[in-house]
Amino acid sequence: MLWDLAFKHLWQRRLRSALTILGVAIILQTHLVINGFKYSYEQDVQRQLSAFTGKVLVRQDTGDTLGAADFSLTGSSLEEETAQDILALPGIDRQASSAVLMAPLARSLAPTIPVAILVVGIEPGHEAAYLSGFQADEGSTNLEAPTSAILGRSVAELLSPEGEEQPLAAGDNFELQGQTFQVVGVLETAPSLYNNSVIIPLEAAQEAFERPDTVSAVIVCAGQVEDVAQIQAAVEMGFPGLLAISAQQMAASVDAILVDVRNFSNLLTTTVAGVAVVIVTIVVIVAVMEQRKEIGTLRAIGARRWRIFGMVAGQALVLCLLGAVLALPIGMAFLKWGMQWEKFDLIFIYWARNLVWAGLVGILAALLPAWQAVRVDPLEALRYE
Amino acid sequence: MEPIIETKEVWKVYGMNGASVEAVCGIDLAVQQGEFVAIVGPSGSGKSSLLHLLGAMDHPTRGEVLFGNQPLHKMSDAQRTDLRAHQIGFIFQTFNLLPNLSALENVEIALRLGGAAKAERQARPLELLERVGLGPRARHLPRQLSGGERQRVAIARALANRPRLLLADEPTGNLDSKTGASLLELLRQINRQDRQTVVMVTHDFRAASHADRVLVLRDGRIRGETRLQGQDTHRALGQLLALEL
Ligand SMILES: Nc1ncnc2c1ncn2[C@@H]1O[C@H](COP(=O)(O)OP(=O)(O)OP(=O)(O)O)[C@@H](O)[C@H]1O
Ligand SMILES: [Mg+2]
Repeated sequence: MLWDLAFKHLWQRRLRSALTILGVAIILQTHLVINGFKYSYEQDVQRQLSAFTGKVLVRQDTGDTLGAADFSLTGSSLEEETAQDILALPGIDRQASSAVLMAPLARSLAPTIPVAILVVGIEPGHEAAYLSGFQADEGSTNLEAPTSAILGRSVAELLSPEGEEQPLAAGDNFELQGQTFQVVGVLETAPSLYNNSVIIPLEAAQEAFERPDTVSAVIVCAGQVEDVAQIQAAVEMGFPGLLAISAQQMAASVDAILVDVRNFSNLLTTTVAGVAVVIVTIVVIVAVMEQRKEIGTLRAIGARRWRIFGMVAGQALVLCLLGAVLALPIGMAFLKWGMQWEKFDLIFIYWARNLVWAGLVGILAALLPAWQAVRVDPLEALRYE
Repeated sequence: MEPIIETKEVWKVYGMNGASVEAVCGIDLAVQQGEFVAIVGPSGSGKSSLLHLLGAMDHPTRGEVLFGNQPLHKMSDAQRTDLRAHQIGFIFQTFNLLPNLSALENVEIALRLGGAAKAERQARPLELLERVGLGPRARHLPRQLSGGERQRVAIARALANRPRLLLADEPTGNLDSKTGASLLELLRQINRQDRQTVVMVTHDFRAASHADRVLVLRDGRIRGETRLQGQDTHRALGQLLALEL
């Protein structure tokens, strides 16, 4: 093989090679980051779904096909009386069920970053209906007082007063819609829905958002898992206009959304890989133009075409594979300092896959320049002016 | 005796459509094993064109070239490439060393292309460089060598696979006369010691005088021929100058 020649040419043009490798690395690290996010998003949604196992969400039928996967219950509204009638149906574990009122609270961390905080009103004593087993890291999960609040991890940070380094902790006070609440507990790290939640007593929420006697939905916990279907049937028979959604149905809707997410991220990563192919192709075409005389000489002294092909393809592959190697630290730095993300184990999985991608990019990027190179005539070696 | 290379009524016409240039016009030529043949002629007389045909690098427009009785035009590109790798050594006017490789590596790569065994690839390059007087410069890059030294490396490279035919196109064209003379002396020595067949084209009669046989080329045709065996250079040059007239 003539790979040593390929390396030497790249080494001869160190600056250009380094810049190309850097370019490939930057491109491929977006690949890494996009896939990493997709994966953690899917994990998040799956954890959220599994927290909902054995439950039925009763909400208004807004005609929205994705309604079943809309965890923040936007647009759903029903009378509290209706909610209580539902909660009185047989087969329900009343303790673990509750009427809930949910209201998104717009709040900006920085002018350009919208962060939604979800305020969740829940019946005191029935916190488990929403929390589904997630515990408080500190404090309790009991909304004893009318102004008690349980905070999600992210919310505890977001709501801490300006200039304050520490997140809110049990015992701290904060303002919400002009009312003062006291933190009774901060949740452990949980799926993002929980991390972004402020959980307060239902009545306080109705007052704060001026929605008296209204709830968004009812979270119903079946006493026995086998009762889920029966409860669903009872709700749909007795309460027209309401949807009773089981965990399985939610999972099905979520899958539909995840397909979109996957398609989108695949589109992004393929586009990005396409850009890498074009960049490397251009660089290697230029390299072939510079090496025409050398290639002609090699052909004249007896190098077969496949050797020339290999030499040129080797250059493209080396650029791409080194780029993929460099993409790892760049991607990690980007996630760590740009996104405060620390799940590097994921990155390694995607990085290994990235190496395969890089190989593919290299092969594709090699085709056109290598084809040009094998067509160089041995007589090219003899032209001089 | 069967010639190593032979042309039969060979033509090379460039630019078939529109204005065509007849560079080689029906040349018959046969070179025997061990001969040192010089083809001499003015610029544009078709020397390089002819050499490319002999070196299996170009296709004749008409006629045929036989290498050891094998017609080149019947060979595939891969077969011609292998022929160049194994049987033909080429020395270029512009040296054509690979600029990123040392003198040693430039010779080694020819052995690699010729499919030489590992042991030979390790030992032979230095032997060859020593043979052309460049042993101490083996690790130098072409740009660190003078023109004459580069051409010596090129000779070592051309000899790497013990080719049956060594072709040289104006090997001294880019060298001063003294350096050129010592290079021709080297070629002559290789020709004598190894019975290495050499075909060299040049426009320089002084260079041609190192050969056994000189052909004079003009307008793509052979206009004269002389044997210089056993004659001194002055007489030889005189004969050649007479030929040119
Ligand atoms: N690729 C080409 N296309 C068209 N014409 C060509 C080509 N190569 C050579 N010629 C023409 O063929 C003729 C012979 O050229 P050639 O290079 O063989 O001459 P030469 O004897 O080697 O000259 P020099 O001593 O200058 O190298 C010239 O008229 C030249 O212009
Ligand atoms: Mg010429």
